[in-house]
Amino acid sequence: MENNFQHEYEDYTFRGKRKQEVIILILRRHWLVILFRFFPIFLFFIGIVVFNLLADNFISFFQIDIDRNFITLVNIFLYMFFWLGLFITWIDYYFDTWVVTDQRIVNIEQIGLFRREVSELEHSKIQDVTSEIRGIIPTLFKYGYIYIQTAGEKERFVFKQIPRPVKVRNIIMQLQKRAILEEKKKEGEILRGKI
Amino acid sequence: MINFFLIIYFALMLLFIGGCIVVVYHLWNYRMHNRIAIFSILFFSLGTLALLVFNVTTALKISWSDFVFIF
Repeated sequence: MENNFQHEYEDYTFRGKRKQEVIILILRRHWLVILFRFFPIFLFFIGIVVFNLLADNFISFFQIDIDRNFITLVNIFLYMFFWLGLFITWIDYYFDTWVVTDQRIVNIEQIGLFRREVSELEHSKIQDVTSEIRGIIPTLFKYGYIYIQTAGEKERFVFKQIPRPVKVRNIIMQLQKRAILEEKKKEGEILRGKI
Repeated sequence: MINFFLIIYFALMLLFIGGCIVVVYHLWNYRMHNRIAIFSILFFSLGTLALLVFNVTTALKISWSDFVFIF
């Protein structure tokens, strides 16, 4: 299984990655999610355009004697904060990742700019994996949720709005089965006195 | 004598530059792929630099001391 994915993520890494750990999947929310998030930012951009049109008409209608450079400066500031808002929204989306490795699942959640939550789950601690696609748009674009029931401290891991949740669920189930098999092998070897 | 508009101008510039530093910090510090991170930072920096240059050149054209509204 690693051979199908390893080449895709060979150059990738994340904080806390172990030396021999192999990244199988890096998941982010579906691209539609970032489009919906960009929508208010683009509304702001349209607001800037409307401001441009209205400002000129307002000035000429009321014959206000104002330095045109000042209007240009206000415009530039609006574009600057539009640019910044775009990237802040992008960061909030892009750094929400679920990393599936051959050993564990790492959930990295970027909440705003100054809050970041990282949690991890070993494959052997997975008890149940459920995938869910709910709604017209998620059904059409095939994205949804994965709920992982765990035996760990955090009872449930949730993969939010990820593409192809059914396929991802199958991969996680395979990894879980393999982890349990390896644990049983180790236990057997301990009992037989090999370790 | 305090120029109110100039204070607002510098405050907004500081806010913007602070925000840019935070964005670059996140793009670099939490990167998962070096090339993608470098490309993102370059792209963001070029856009920011262009806007800042445009901003400063426009601000220099304004006569801040005799800012007058006539109705």
